[in-house]
Amino acid sequence: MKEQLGEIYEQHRQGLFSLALSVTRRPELAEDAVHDAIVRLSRSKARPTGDPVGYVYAAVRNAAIDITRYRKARPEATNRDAAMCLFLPDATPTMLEAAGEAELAQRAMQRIEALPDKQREVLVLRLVAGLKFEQIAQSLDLPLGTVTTRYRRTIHQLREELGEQNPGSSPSEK
Amino acid sequence: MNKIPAAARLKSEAMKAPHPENPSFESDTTDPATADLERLIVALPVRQPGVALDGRVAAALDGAGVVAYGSTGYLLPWVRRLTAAAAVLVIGGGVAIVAMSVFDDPDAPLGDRNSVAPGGVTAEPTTPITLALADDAALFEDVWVASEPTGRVFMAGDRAMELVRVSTIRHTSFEEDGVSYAVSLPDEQIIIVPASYE
Repeated sequence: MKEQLGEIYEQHRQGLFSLALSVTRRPELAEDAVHDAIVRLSRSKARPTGDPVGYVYAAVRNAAIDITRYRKARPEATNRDAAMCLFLPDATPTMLEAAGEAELAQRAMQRIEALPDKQREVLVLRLVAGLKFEQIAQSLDLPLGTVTTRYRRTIHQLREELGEQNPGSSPSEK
Repeated sequence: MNKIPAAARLKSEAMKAPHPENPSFESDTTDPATADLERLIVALPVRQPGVALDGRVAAALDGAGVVAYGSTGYLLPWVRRLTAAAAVLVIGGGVAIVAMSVFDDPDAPLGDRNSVAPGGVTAEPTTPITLALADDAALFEDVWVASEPTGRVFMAGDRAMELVRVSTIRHTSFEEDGVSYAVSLPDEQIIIVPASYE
């Protein structure tokens, strides 16, 4: 598992971090979560069940939840209200334009940050981590149907929100 | 359904290029508007992990111990300045890992940051790497005795790093500002240094 773990980390470094960040909402805690998960997995004698990639993501998510719970029990609360955490808060117009229109990209980031955790996690796993729905289901320990439904609802919701706010959007086709 | 305006779609070059972090992402939607939004999100500038995470993970995979966050560890961190921009942090007391970081306040006194506390009790780290800075670099000469490059070089961000195995470390203690510090490091640790260090 250890050798495989290194490969998975190299390939999914960003995705693992983003998932942890989606849970902890603090970069330093997200890094701790990824590190903790890697340490635990590297020392574990248990063989991964299911897809190894999904297995690692699940471990990172669990570590992130553990850290968040631990922090909540502390006087200093986690930064759950951070307006911009998953994305770069100081993204330059050039960076935003790499995604499309800067203003829309900015609004998309804000909308995604404001999503409920469950929806944001699915979105991150799909679009930042690039996981397949089966892997996402394993990472979140959810049925495949729940994951696909949640993802499509989230995308639909974002389309509605972004479209409604953009005067140049086309009329609803519903 | 509403569509993402054409102007908001990815620019042609970006559309063709795979996402730098998830080139394997393949949309399975047949709806163009959904595909547009997916491509938009994929290209958004996500926050990236610090370079130190690579070092922490590499060290973990090489068998180094756990760097404990919060108060879960029995820690006594040490930092030795290697270059103007990099430092190595050693955490003793049964668990050990080393990470690379950047001094942001080289004048901060030992124990005045967020990691060092007397008696090996740690304070809450506020950065990915807990930083402990000391004015007296010679202090650390007592701690670092021998090291052996492993030949394993990897990139941490834009820096070439190498894992180095420290085989013998003396124990030491000192007193500063009326507080006694004891250093008791394991016999062997794997640390990370800039590849040019050796």
